Amino acid sequence: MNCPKCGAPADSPTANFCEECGASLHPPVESSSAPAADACEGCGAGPELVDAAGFCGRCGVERHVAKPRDHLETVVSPSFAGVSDRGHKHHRNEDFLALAGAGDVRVAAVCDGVSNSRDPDTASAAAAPAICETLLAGATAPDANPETLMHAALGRAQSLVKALTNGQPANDAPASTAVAAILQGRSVTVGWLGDSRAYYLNADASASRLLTKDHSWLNEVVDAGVLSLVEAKSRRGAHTVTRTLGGPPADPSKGDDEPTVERVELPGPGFLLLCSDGLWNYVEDPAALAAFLRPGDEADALALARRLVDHARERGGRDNITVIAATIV
Amino acid sequence: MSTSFTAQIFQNPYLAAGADEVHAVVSVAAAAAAGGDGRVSVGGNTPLVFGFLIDCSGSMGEDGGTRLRHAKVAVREAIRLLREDAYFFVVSGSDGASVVAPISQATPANKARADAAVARLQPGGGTQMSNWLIAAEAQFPREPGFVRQALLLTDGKNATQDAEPLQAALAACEGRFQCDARGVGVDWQVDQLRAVAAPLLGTVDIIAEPSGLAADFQGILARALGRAVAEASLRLWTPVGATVEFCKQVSPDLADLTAKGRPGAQNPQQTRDFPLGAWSREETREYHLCIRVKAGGVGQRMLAGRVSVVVSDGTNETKATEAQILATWTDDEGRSAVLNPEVAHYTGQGELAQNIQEGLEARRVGDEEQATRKLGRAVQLAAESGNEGTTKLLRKVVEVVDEERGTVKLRARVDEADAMALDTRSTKTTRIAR
Repeated sequence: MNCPKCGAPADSPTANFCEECGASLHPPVESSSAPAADACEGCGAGPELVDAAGFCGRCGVERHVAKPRDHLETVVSPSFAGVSDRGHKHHRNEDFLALAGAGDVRVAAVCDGVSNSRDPDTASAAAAPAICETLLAGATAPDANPETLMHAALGRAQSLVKALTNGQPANDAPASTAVAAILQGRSVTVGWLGDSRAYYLNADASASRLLTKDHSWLNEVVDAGVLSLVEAKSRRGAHTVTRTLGGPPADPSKGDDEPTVERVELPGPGFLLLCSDGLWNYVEDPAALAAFLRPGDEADALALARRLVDHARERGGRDNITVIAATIV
Repeated sequence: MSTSFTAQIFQNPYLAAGADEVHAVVSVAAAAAAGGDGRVSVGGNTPLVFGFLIDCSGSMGEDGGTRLRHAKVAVREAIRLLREDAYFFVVSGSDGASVVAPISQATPANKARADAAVARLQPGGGTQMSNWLIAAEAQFPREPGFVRQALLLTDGKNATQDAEPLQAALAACEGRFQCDARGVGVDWQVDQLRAVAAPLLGTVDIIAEPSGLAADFQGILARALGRAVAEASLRLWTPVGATVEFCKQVSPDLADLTAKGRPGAQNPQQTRDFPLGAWSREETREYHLCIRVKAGGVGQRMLAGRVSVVVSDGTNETKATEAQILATWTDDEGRSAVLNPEVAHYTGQGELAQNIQEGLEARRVGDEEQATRKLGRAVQLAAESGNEGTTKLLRKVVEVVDEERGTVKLRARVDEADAMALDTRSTKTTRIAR
């Protein structure tokens, strides 16, 4: 295979990054199953009514001109794939994904740009590939310590995203969540900042679990004993993310937001799922997610990822949706 | 030499989920066209037609005839200032109206003739302003390409039987010419003159002492002579399903243009044209717009309004500048709850003017409690917004106990002219420091 960016031949059939220019050899691809964007989302008017700035001449809603990033798919192997979709309501896809494998190591990252920051799409697009690159380079080293490596990868991503600020005020700076995983056999090391999640799904739904715990206002006040779960859930802004890549830190006196990193031994065959809140806002219970599994998904992880994304779109697609699925044997 | 316009929008485009009111301040600046700066230039040589409508009712001759004497001097001195390429006329008004100097070019000969006619004016009769306006309307040319300005001076109230005819006359004159209204002395009514100036896109002011008339007239004429563009409009496009809640001029003074909006020619359902009248080569005016749109979903972005300044020369229309008013729905209260400073400032200035007018009205009818409360709130708002001019005027009517809290006491003795000055100038706003 040749590098899609510079054309240089790849080092080996299983290589993930170009040795010449460093670009990913498996960049996300626009899929032919991208949804059509002809009719105006606001009023159904035809594309001839769009003005030069991209707004519908009838109802004023920003016309969605289909962009490649609206629907991305990456397939590293039949048992390791991911999908990222704009959804229906958001004017652009601010999620990004990256996945790669070498030998028996697989690495993956999902990043969800914080909408209320400026240019969140640049934050997520910078972070996800950088995380995977660092993870893969380190994971294949003989004495690799996955937890240390995960901290390093997320730390590097933090610096990268902060550098996007360009001297502008921190409150407005591009920001993104991140959830990343290093998978080797049944051993997975998960690291995260924010409310993008990792799940283990098993055909036996009761064995399925959530592997991460959101860095959200809700969890922080409940953990601190300030409010009960019921009370906290009813508050507006309960799901506000408290730790991110870039953006203002949760506690400026303590420096940048720290990720949580955990190593887990998975109990048996099944799937590792990484996803953004565009999915779990519709289906969050691990058993409910497991109900989407079908026989044959182990050899067609892309089908599983697509199925979950489509479900979120059918339920309304209020947000961008990203799902990465990796078969565990 | 022509003029170019630029429009700048000040707004917080973020709305909470379900919110549907979009506020924006549009700052429109006219500047001498530099050429080669990419801006559309409009206007050029636009001659002025200026009409003097002078009250010659019986009351103008009272007190030794001082008011009419000074008015005549003021008109004659103003006529002298006219440039030769301008046109002018003089109407003397009482129950009827008499065109003492019909429209003519401001040549030395015509000026001399008019000067003599004005010198001969005598007081007598009542006040029926409808007739003065109708006489003026007939004098102004019908062809486009002229700046059409009138100055109406009175010293008293309009006759009650003229109330309806005056409404009809104003409707007929709307769009035909602009008119500034001035009251000399204290026997006239502020809201009567406001009702004349508002539809005719003009200002109102008091000239307490007749000796001040000459200077005031010269100021008005100088501004009229400086007009470079005869007729500009603010064209507002909104999406289908949206309504324009209001369009108000907020600087240099307040004027509600909402009712003057007319459907645009090309896209009547979605555009409204608000007349702005004549513009000088270098000036800035600001407008507060409010558009009610169909609320979008979180993450959606919408063009809530497109503002353009359109200049017409009668046959052709030129779009001089354009700006966008946006709306983006978000669930981040940190973004949607922020008030844009310009919008907040002018909302406050509007509240200030309203409190002054309501406070003065309460004082007039003897409701001291209401007057104290309203004028106290006005003192607070004026101080907060740094509107020093209004603060000074307020202090002539109330004694300020605590400016921050808005605690005031009505003064026992107030010069009526001071109360009327506060009333007429309540609509003058300050600009926000940028």
